[in-house]
Formats: sequence, structure tokens, C-alpha cells
Amino acid sequence: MKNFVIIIVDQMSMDCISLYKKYFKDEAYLAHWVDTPNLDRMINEGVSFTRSYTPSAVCCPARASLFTSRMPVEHGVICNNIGIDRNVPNMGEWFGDHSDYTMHYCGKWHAGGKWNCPQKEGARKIPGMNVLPIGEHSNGSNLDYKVSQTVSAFVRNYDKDKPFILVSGLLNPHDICFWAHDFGVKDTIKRSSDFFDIENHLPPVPPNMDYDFIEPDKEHVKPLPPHFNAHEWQNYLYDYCRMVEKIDSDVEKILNAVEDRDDDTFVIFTSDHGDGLGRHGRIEKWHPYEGSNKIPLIFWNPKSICKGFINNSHFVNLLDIFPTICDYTGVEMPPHSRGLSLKPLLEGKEPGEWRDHIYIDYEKTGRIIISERYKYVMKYKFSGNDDLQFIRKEDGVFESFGKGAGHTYEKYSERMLFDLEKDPWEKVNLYNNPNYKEVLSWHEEKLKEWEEKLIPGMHYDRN
Amino acid sequence: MTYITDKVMIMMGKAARQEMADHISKRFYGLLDYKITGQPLKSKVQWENEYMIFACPHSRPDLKGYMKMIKYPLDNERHGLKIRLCRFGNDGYHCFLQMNLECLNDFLCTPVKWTFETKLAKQWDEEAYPYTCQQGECFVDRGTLYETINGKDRSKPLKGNYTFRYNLFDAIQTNGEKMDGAFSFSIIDELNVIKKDNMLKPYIELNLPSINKNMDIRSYVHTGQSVIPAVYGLGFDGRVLFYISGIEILFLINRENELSKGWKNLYEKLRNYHC
Repeated sequence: MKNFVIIIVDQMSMDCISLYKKYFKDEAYLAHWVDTPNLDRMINEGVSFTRSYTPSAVCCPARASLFTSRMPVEHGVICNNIGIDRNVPNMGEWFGDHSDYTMHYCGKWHAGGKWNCPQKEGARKIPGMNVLPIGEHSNGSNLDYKVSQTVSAFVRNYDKDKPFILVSGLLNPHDICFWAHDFGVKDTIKRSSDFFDIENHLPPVPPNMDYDFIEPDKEHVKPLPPHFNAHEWQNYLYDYCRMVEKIDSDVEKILNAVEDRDDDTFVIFTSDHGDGLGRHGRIEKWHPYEGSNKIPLIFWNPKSICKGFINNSHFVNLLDIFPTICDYTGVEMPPHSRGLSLKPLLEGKEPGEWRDHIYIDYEKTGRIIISERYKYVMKYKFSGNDDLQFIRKEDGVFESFGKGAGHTYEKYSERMLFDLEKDPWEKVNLYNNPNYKEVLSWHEEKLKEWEEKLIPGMHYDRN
Repeated sequence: MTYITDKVMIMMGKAARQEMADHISKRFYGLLDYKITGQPLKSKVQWENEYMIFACPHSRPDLKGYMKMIKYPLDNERHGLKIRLCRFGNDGYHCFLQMNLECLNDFLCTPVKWTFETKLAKQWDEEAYPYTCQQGECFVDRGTLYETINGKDRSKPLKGNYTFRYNLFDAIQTNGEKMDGAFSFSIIDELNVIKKDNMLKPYIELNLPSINKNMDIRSYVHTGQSVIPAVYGLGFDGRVLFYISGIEILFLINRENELSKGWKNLYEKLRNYHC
């Protein structure tokens, strides 16, 4: 009997794991500036992916996609604080209806609704899931201790004969958002390095702080960091690394508990999205760049999967976690699932036909196609007045920015094309280079295929 | 040890507290604007052998927790330390951690063995929420940390100087005056997680006006693996008054004006916690 512990953290970019320094060789990557022995252990003893992406670099859309295996326009959570379409089953509802598994949730949810943390009963109860009632916290320094303590106890104690799926929603390194917000607002923050002897430990600023192309929807590019100089960026990155290390110690507690359980339990580690990390001068998420979109994805189960295999070749996605658990448990996949089972890849087998690109939403109307070598970025002009109209008219008639949704489809003329092989820091926009016409049309065709395939969601619970 | 937490806060006075807040907040994330500016205490009852610290996240001051430490002598070389930590939830349950440690009377109050219990419960002495209770024992022998949690054994290497995260409060309080240089150590954080390359060293000294006279505040900075640079501040009596790290703050705080009825109930529970 297999159990599953999903650890989802908040705003952790893929390259912030110390073991990955051998893949991210440029010292501007944070792998060179963190110490994450427990995530390293998961990688060394499990299977991990270096081409793993979020379906949307925003909390709610990404998390809702993880728990439904559907793209944002389908589950309806195209931005934060909107509920999942009631007709789209989440993982807990699905396994509750189709198996003996029970699903339990602890920590940050934020996969639909205006609230970050679920509650045991009432409006914040997650359909289909038993919430471990640790309460709410808006910062990881307090929430994450509670989560890892409660999750590790649950794993140690839960009945051996009852299969379970347990989600551990850790909040860090999202605390870095407070760093940036207060910097601009309060004008009181000084650099840690002014007061602490950490100069030798400050990561360098990324090499793509300055770039010379114009982004789509340039008036609304967000969030713009407030007046960081290079040294302040270095301090931002330094503190971010420490927050990732906090996560790593929470992972240790959970891993040890799973190990003590001594059964066939998977641990899956991932993040909803990454952070701007100063790349292209950005903080937080929302962006079409690799720092925001590339996320860690690690599977650990010494009893069932390969050991120490780092997959650098296959495109994988948060959407794949749900189908993978279905595959391992013999439960059919939910209808219209957009993910693929990773089971063959975890067991060292050829998966047969695999996706040759990844489709990502950025913000509400931005679209990204990442292929073997290139990344194409475009954005529609938003034709709604606000979020409410964007999702649903006041008379209750569905409206969304999807196929047949009634919005205009005017595109921003500024688009982007990057050669990720030659230009991993995304500094040169090739969109207007005539030599890349064929490349562009291939990506635009893939985007069109996605837009025709997606089924917009309809029935939302806005709480 | 001295036990005049409340008195210190009274003597500082509102203006002094504000000054300290201003001074420190310039170095951190704007944390202290609200937290040190409360009215003076009505009660001047001194606490003995205990202190209480609230965690006060800047963005959500309604969500807090408390920590209580009780120190008692064992013999010439060792002392005992009892710690209860409660992180409040708003869903009817709170997250508790209680530890009983046996520590050396050395620079870092080095723990040599300890027991712990964790649970999610409405109150410490009430039944735990299902599946959320853990009990364990740990000890260190010749550079190895041994632990038994819910009957399962594990060990891992632990080299050099080390202390327990919450022992740092005790270590700094006990040895503050002797701390004239930096020193490094490992932290055992939350039961058993070892974090290396931690460093503690002297930081700024403040001379702040208070109601009756100026008072000195000394501070020490803590850096290391997974530690957002943090500062421990000591009052003139050597007592740790505050700990600040990023958006996290632990602070000795008055109990009359800050505690609602619910908090008072919790406080009474806390007061009734004896060795």
C-alpha cells in the first residue's frame, strides 16, 4: 500500500538547491549560495527533474492546477483569491470517490478562495480533505514549524492499514515578500551586510539585471522592486537563501518521520512557483522568466523508485503529480487531466510518447510556450474591467478569458522569443529577428493547439 | 539570573521604547513600530525563574505564541531547563512543544540530553488532535546525537560546539557580559535538526533614556545556516529582552495591557506550569 506526502513550498526557484550547482554552473545561480542537505538527500536517494515548470507563476492558479491537474482557465483560478470551479474535482474529492484513500491537508492552501490557510470546518474547509487544524499564519517563520511538527507526527502515527495522501503546505521562502514590500514602504530597511559580517556570503547580482527589450504590457509589468541597488539585491538574495534553508530543515523532520514509518510512502517535494530573484530586476513571481517558472520537483521513495536519478531531458509539470499518484494507486485519472504520469520516469523506464513543450500561463492573459530550445512569450490585452467581470458577469453568466468567452483577442505587439540554450539568462529577445520565423510559427501553432484544447471552467466558489 | 522583566519595560518608558524601536527598525524590516510602545504596566509583580516571550509577526499581530523557560540547578556542572512553546492557531487548536533539558553550566548551556513532547491540542493538558502527538528522547555522546522518537531510533554526527535554539536565550543571558568576541557553533533546532556554521557576536550598544535614568542595552547578532540575521538584545540587568529576525520577533512583553481575556487565561496556564 503506497502513501503520499506532498511537500509544497511557496516561491522557491529550482536553482536554490545546493546539489544542483553541478547543473547550474554559473555562480550567479543560488545553488552556489545555499546549503540544503536534506533536499540534496532527497535528490540523491530519489528522482528529480531539472525541466520542471509551474503551469502559472502565481500561488492560487499553480496550486489549483496541482490539485486538479487542469490548467488555470479550466479550474477557473486564473489569479489569486478565486475559488476552484465546483465541477472540477480536486485530488481529495477524486480519491475519496474512487478509492480507499483519505486526503489530509496541513498548512498553506491558497489554491482557491481568499484565504491562505484552511480550517477544519466552515467556509475554509477544503472539499474532500481532512484539515489538520494548525490555524493560520501569514509568515513562514511561524507557520512552517507548526506544519512540519504536525505533519511529522501524523506520518509517524497514522494507521498502517489506511492509505493516505497528506499535503504539507510550507510557506517559506515566501517571507521574502515582506522584505521587499517593507523596503519601499517604510524606508527603514538597511542592508544586513551593513551590520553583519556577511559580505563574503552575499550572492552576486544576476547577470540579466539589465536588458534592452520591451516586454508585453510594459505599463503593467509587476511588481517593480523599489529602488534596490546592487548591494541591496545581494542582501535580498542572501536572506532568500536562508529562508530556503529553513525549508530544508522542515523537510528533514518530515523525511525522518517517513523513514521511521518504514513503509511504501512517497515524499514529493515541489513549489507552486519561483521568485524573481533580481533577474530582469524582479521580485516575487508573475513573470515569464525562468526564475519564476522553473520549480523543484523531487520524488523520494527508496522502496519503489530509482535512486539518485536526475532527469534532465523530460518536460514535467505540477500538473503531473495528480496523474502520477493515480497511476501508482490504480485509480483512473480525472477527465481532461492535462498532466502525465511520471511513473515510468520514476522507475527508469521509457515513457513512450512525451510532450515536446510546456505551456505556461503568466498573469491572467500571458502565454508561454517552452520547447526543447526556445521560449515564446505573448500576452493578450485584458478586455475586462476587473477580476470579477473577468471571471463572471454579475448576472451569473460565465465569462472567462478562454475559448468562446466573449473577450477580444487583441495581442500586445511586443512579444518575446529566447534561445534558452545559448541565452539561459534570457537577455536577448529574438522575436523580431527574421531568422527565427519558423521557430516562432512552430511555437504559435503549439499555443493555438492549447487554446483549442482547453475547456474553460464555469462554476466558481469565490470564497 | 535576575527577574525584572516587567520592571525593565516600565523603566524604559514610552519614549525610550519608541527610540529603541526606531533604532532597531532601521536595521530590520520595520518591525517594531507597534510592539514596544505599549503603556506602562499596572502590575509590578516580578516573575521568578521564568519568562514569557510573544512571537509578534509584524503583519499579523493578532497571531502570536508564547514561550516559557524555567531554569533550575542540578549540580555544580549542570542545570535543568524546561521549555514550553505554544504557537497559536485560530482553529481551536494550538501547536505545543514541551522539552525538559539537562544542560552543562558552560558558555552555550550545552544540552547533553533532553526529552520532548509535541502535540496539537486546545490546551497543553488536553487530549491531542488525532495523530499529532510525538514523544522523544535525545542525548549526545562523543559527537553523535542519538534520538528516539515514538520508539524509533536514529543517530547523526554533531561536531564541535552546539546548543539548542532556545538555549541561546539562556546562554546569552547567563554569559552576556563575557561575550566580547565572536564564536561559532551548531544549532539544534526544534527537537533534532542540526544547523551548522552558526555565529554569535557582539553587536551595537544603546544608551536609552528611561523614566528614572538612562539604561544600557547590549545586543548580539546571530547568523548562520537558515538564520536570517538576528539580534538578541539585553537589558542592563543582563536579561534578554528581545530577539528579532526578519519578520519574526520574540519579545518580553508586559502582561496587563497586552493580554486580552483569552490571553490572560493562557497566561494563567503558563503561570501554573511548574517544574
